Amino acid sequence: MALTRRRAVVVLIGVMILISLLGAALAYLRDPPWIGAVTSGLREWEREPSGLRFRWTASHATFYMPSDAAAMTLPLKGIFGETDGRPGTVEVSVDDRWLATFTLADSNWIRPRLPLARGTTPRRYRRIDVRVSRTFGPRNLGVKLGEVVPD
Amino acid sequence: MNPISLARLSLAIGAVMRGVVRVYDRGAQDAAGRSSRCGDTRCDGLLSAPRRLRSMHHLPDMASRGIVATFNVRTAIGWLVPHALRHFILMTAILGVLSQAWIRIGLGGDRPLRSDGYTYYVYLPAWLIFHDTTLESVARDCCGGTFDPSTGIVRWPATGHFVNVHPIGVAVQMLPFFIVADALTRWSNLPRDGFSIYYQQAAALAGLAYLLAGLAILRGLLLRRSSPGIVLATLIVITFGTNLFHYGTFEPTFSHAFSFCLVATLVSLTERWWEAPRWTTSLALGVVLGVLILTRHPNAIFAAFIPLYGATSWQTLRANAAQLWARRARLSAMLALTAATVSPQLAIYHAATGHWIVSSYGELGFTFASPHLLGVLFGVQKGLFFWSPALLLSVAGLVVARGWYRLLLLPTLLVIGLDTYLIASWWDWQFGDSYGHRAFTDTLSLAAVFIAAFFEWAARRPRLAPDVAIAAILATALSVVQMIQFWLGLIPPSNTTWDQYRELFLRWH
Repeated sequence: MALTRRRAVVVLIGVMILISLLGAALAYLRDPPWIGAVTSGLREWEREPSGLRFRWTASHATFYMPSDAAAMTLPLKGIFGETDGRPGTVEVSVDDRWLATFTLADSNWIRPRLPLARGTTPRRYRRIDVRVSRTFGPRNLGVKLGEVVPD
Repeated sequence: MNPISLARLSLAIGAVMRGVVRVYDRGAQDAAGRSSRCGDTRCDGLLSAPRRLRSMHHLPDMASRGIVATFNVRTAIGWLVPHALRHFILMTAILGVLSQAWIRIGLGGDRPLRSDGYTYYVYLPAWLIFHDTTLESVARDCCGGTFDPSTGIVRWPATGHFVNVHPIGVAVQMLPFFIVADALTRWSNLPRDGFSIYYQQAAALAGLAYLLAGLAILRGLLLRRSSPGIVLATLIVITFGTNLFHYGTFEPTFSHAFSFCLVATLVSLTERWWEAPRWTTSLALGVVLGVLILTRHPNAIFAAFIPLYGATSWQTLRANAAQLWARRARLSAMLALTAATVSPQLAIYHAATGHWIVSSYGELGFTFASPHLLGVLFGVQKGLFFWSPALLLSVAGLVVARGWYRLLLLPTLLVIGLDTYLIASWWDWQFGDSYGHRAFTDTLSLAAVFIAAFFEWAARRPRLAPDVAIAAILATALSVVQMIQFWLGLIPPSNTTWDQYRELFLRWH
């Protein structure tokens, strides 16, 4: 009986430790500090002949911006005009909320300054999603994305 | 060291080990001579070892007990075996997680959701994130509206809809892991695209979890018939002496670990069904068979296991047929549930192609007139026994199987024979990039049963047992070394030649 009681106490302590660890892990993962460096749908950095650094996006690219930024400048360049001649669109959203849509008809850089509503998230970073209407070639290239500058 | 030198070294080690075992045998005989003084403690075998350990309680202190235990190898093994067997799954789990971490972080390995793993998995984000069964949304989100042709997801010429070469079974089994990953992805505000970090890790852990579940089921199945020592040895050989561990860690999103688990479950349930045909067992068998077919369609041949279980002669075969007729209601329910489980796949095929049954590989298929039997079994490129020589023990087991093991002989021979012919007839009989021949990984739980049968037979022959143990240890060690060589990128993923093999044998760079 004593052994059973002791085992029950051990199991109870084990369960409490497990729940505490799980809670701590969940609390940490709610706003992990490393998320600012997470990207997806973006190729390696390249450089244009003019020296401008950029990364090709795929259909859907994701990156993070500090949540205390009031706005960001998003350099974009499409190659729709060079390929099939039809304009393409780029849709930008912040934390799953639509922010802006751009139509890219030629091969020039655009640098729109997009406002980010400051103070509406308790997290350290906001997730920015860029969705491109068409991609090209076997490498699945969307648009060129320059260095995004937070304001 | 080349293979011939290794064989010579093995013979030398074998001779030494035989000598050591004879010394211990003499010691055991001396102990047996004193058995009359042992009271209730048996002194003559491995299984009595825990009792002997307990009998040491009269010794004055722990140090003395430790000294005795150190010098009594049989006692130590007798204590170790049940503990190691009890914790085998946990230890393999820890090793599996560490291996996955090393492969991803230490070796900079590719993401788990790649190659075949991608196509098996892609249904989950399509269904649960994009609420789309056509795969169009995933194609738009990831790849500009079309999948890379190398993925094996192509547009059906007549309809223009996507057809995936791989069926939905693995995705169905990954579902619980996907749900957790999706919830965590929302929680952390990561990209909810089905392929970000938590989805990748969850898919990798799913493969490992099904490998462990399969091993646990196999342990339970074998423990009903064999001693803990034989079960432990069998589990070690089948896990590490073949490519099974590799497919739970390096390529865990492929179908093989999942099929391994399902085949082990099918064998275990079939045994129970023939012992007592309960409705729950019948229905469980129906679902397992259905998911097995959903995982890989050729797995349908495993259905033969159910009617043939226990058949050892024409008489027993007729008796089985009579039993099946007597159980026709349960059998019908089982088959109906199998059909219901498979039906979503047929609906997907119909929606995509207009046909209920299609060859998702298009024109690629079987070359039944010219099977590469020698290649798939013994070839340097991918030969089953070349890369996993430990499986020769299971062939020996097929020959010497007695008792319960014999009840599985006919269905195993039929299923593995048919499977081998199908694999050897496949247009890509090497099955692409892999460590060893991955198509046979699905049947490893059947091989494990006959490895146990051989160990059982060898254990009754003390003069042969050391040789068998040495052969099993060496074959398992060789497999582990070669698996790590594959992970390090030393062994080519396909088309290995004998010259390459000799050049790379036991080399780390």
